[in-house]
Amino acid sequence: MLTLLLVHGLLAGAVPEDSVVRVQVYRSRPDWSVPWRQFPVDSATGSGFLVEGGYVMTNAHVVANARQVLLKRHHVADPFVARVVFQGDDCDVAVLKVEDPAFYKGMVPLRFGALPKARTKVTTYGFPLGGEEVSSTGGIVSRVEWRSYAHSGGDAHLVVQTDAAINPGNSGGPVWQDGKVVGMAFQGFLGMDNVGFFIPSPVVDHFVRDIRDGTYNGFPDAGLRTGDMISPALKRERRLPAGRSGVVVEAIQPGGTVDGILQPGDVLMAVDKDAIRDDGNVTLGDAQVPYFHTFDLKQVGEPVSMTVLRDGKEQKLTAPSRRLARGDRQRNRYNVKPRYLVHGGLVFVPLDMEYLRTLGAEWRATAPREVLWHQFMREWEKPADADREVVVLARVLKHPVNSQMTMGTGSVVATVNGHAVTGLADLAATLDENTGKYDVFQFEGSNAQEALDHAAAHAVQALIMKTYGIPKDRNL
Amino acid sequence: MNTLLTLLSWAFPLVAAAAPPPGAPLAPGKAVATAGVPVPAPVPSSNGLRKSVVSIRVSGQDWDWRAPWSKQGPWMRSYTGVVVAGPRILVTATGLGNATLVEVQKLGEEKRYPARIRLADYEGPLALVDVDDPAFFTDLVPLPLAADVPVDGEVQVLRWLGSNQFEAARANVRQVRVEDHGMSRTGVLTLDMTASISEAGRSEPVVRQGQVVGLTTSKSDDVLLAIASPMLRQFLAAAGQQPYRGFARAGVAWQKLVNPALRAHLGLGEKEGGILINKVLPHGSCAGGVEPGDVLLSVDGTRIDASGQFDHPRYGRLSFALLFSLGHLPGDRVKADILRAGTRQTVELTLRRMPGEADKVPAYVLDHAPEYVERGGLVFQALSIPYLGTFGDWRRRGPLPLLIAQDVQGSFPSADAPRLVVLTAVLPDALNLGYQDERDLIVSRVNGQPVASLEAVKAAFDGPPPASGFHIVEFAPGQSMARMVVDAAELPAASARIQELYGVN
Repeated sequence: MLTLLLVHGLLAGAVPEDSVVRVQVYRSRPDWSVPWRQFPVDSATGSGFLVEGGYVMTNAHVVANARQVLLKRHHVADPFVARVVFQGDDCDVAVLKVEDPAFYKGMVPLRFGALPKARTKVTTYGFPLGGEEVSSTGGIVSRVEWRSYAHSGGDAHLVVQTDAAINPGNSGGPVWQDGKVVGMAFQGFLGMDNVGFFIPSPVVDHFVRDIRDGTYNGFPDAGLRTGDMISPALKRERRLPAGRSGVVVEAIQPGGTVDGILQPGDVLMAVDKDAIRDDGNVTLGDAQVPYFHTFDLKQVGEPVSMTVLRDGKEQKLTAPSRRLARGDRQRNRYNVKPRYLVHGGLVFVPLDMEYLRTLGAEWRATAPREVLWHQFMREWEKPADADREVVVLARVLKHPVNSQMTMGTGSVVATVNGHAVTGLADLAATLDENTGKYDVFQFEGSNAQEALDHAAAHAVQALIMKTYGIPKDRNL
Repeated sequence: MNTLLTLLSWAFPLVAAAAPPPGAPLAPGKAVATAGVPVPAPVPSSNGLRKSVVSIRVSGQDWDWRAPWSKQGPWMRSYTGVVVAGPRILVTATGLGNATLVEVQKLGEEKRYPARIRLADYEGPLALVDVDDPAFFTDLVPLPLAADVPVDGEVQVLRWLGSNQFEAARANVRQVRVEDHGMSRTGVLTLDMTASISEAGRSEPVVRQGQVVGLTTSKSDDVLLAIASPMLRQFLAAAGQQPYRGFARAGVAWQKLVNPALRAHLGLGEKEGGILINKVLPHGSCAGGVEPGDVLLSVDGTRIDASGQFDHPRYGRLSFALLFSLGHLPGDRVKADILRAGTRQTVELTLRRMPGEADKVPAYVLDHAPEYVERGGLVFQALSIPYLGTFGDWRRRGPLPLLIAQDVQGSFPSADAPRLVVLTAVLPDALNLGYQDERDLIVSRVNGQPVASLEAVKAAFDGPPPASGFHIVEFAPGQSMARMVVDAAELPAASARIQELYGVN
């Protein structure tokens, strides 16, 4: 039997069904609008496949917030319990392991191939809409492009677009070409047929190299905004030699890879060996993709070299790749407990994307403008202040101690008792240490003030927590 | 059981692909409906009133804020006016902006007399209309404006319904309150009525016992609002003086002071009222006297309660905004009692009016063309609400950097930063190749010089040619582009070409 299976696997690398599993997940997500609460357990299914090292690879979004992960093998009755070993939410890749050796019996790890070329044929494997049987669909590679990854919401990497049917449940399944995995199905377009996307092998490979040292660090942030150099006047003004090309550096994010290396006005002509065209693209096989891809494929700490035209002179500069921790504010978050502070019925939370999404689908229109400024513009306008955490009054749990307050929820807390608030922990400490009679809050934007009787707020804290079912007054 | 696949939805469009046609402030007025409209039973004794009520037909044309050198298609609106002493015609000003022709009709006659807008104050919003032909006022009788308005009871709403059909419809006063009307931001005394007549709110006079008690401004559902006659009287009196002074406005953002903890913290007694001033607009009546963080206790000797209302002897509790707009004129000095950092003091305020263009981001721009500067196909405009209006539901759909700038700076003009300059479009040409998709970028500098007005943009482009040979336009940080380069030597020839191609003049 074993021999037969091996033979089967060896002979027919083109038939990977036995290495594809259905991933069934029971998960419990936090309710970011009531940050001490978890939603009731729900379940979901995706796909996965065996790779080298005994790992089962799937999408991070399949196993996000998982409490139990079960893997169901093709034509095997009993499911196997798996655990998530590494989860890269920024690239939507995760790997799992199963303790029970029986799981691996007869499974052949699938190998990765290179980035597929446009117009070549690919086959997807997985469990669309759940189901018991592996399903496969065929299509062609429509194009290679740079696109936002929806699971994170705050990251973009290379993707491959295909017309092979990719449906809910396909997530995490392998995309197959010439006996190798060239990518992993992961997202589609709402309302668009025949457009599916898979994570191409270079992005998966970044994840695989990243976890080799036992830690997942994630993708680096170049921290760079550039403009294209289509304008002939701009080329002359930057003294770009004829026949050369590049992009002009417009702004630099503090703490990113190029911070302290590049300057606004520099012409970035190449990254590593990839020459940058005037439209900002580099050549990748038979595709043109944004030069960000070259920065993107570096591991955190790995040096990246840049060819730069500065003041008319060409220079080579090198910098270690860095990751911006504050980028998490722009991402959807998983497997973390929401942070909050309850004081006198006032619920404070840090400003991040998860908070904004609690305001509803129209949050861009409904959030106070100062909130949007902090979220999207502050680091460019006030780079020295880029890392500061902003605290928002998310809601008021009504009690007589606070019911006469008039400020709107959603306001940014500027100061407490005259102290400029620098984060949730700072706010908590300031309130804890207040020896005055009142806690006086000043809010940004409206410039409104409100006050709590400090002793009264403390006296009713336990009652408010009991009334509103809050297990802990804070998670800082 | 859910199955998983993250679904991408379309990104929120920060920039609309194609500008929707800018909406006129009001829908073009339909000629007053005749057949088919149920006419309420006429109120007796309306016969004499028809000699005081006239129809006003206004044609106008708004500018195209996407192409500020051109105008949109013309519109036509109908209003009702009331004959007042002079004789002149008093009408609300909301729909008169950008008028090209004003005509009046009387007594249901078909004949239209040319008329002129003598004075339009969009912060009333009220206007006076003159008719040069003295024959027009023959047979017409001015109506007196009531010194006070009723707080309840029945009133009549007067208008001509097409040819020779006069309507005196019933309305019932619910309340007298303070409200701003149309595009105005100035709170004025307002008659709040219920009425079942259709399509009212176009300046119909509201009459009781032969006297005008208000001019309507809007109707939604059954609620009809009118500017109350004390405001009309003050407007007429002000219109008789040179220069016209208008209506004063406090120019503050404030909050109620109902939270006992906050009151105690500020040093206020339980029952003494007062509101907390959050912001003081530099061009408003409170500037120079009141500061953010002050508690405003009284204005001109009238106490303000904790929710921002004062006790009017006749109308009850009304918003304190009326203490600025009624009974005093801009330029008057009034005393205000404040509590500042625990100390009570009296400050003197100089009242000011705040017309739309006094804001840093003008709330409205009427009766003159939008200002713009076009150099080498780069179109610069001062940010304004009418410009934002080209995005349709602009509070939701406008570009975020513009919305933030409007929100944070729009009400705070200053001498060194009177306007926010925006590159609103690039008219494609070889000169600006590479930049043709850029628009809606807040400009910070041109050729190294800070620009906070269109004059500064003009000066930077038209001054001595830059030594580098390039004009450099820099944009405020955080936007999609930081810097734009235009060849200075090629600009003059290109400008002529571009102006011809795009009809810029």
